[in-house]
Amino acid sequence: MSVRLSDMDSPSGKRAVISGPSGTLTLWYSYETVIGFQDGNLPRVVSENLWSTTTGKHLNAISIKKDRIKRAEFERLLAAVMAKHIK
Amino acid sequence: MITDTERMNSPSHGDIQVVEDVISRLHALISIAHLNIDLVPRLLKNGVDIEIESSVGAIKIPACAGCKAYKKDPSEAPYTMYKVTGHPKYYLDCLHCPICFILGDCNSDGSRWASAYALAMKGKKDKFIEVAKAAITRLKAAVARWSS
Repeated sequence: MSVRLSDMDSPSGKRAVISGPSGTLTLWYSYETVIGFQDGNLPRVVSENLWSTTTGKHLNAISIKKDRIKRAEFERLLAAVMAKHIK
Repeated sequence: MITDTERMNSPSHGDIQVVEDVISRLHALISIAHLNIDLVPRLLKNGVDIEIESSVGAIKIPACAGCKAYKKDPSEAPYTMYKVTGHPKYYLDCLHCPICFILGDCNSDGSRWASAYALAMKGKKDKFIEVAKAAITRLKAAVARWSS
């Protein structure tokens, strides 16, 4: 398993690419909160914005507003994909 | 036969390299913990290569063996960690996965490993990072002492 961490447009935004037996999972963080993820080549899943202007910029960097989903639904999907990739 | 005290006072270049590698691993774990403490125990359980762009570079952390490799025959344990801590319960193998060492209480038989693992499992991020930074300070002090 490997993890590759890199900055987005600023140090407050991070991208973590986790590769393992179940494939590749990309996580986008704003500060310490996961705001989006992508399971392999499946469509990117992005949370609605519940936070600051800075996090809004991070969200804009990875998505358009109409594609974002409710936070509760996002967290449910995130938990499932994390369980799949990182046992 | 070389005594434990002599071992502590005569670190080899290999000892220093091992400790510097651990410092890098701890920095990498801190970076992961800042983002998501839940990832730390899951990744350590499997073993992980961590690459942090533009900072510490590529770090390899093998899966923790739970220190059980030396349970049957502790006399086979290397002594690098003994030189750092002054206590024989820390063995070189602990350095492969520093999660035990960052708490400073590995019992070498795997029993404390369980509690260290639980700390990360419980999501105690601030405590995890605090003890990891303290471990780095101790390790750097050891290297400085050896180099003086």
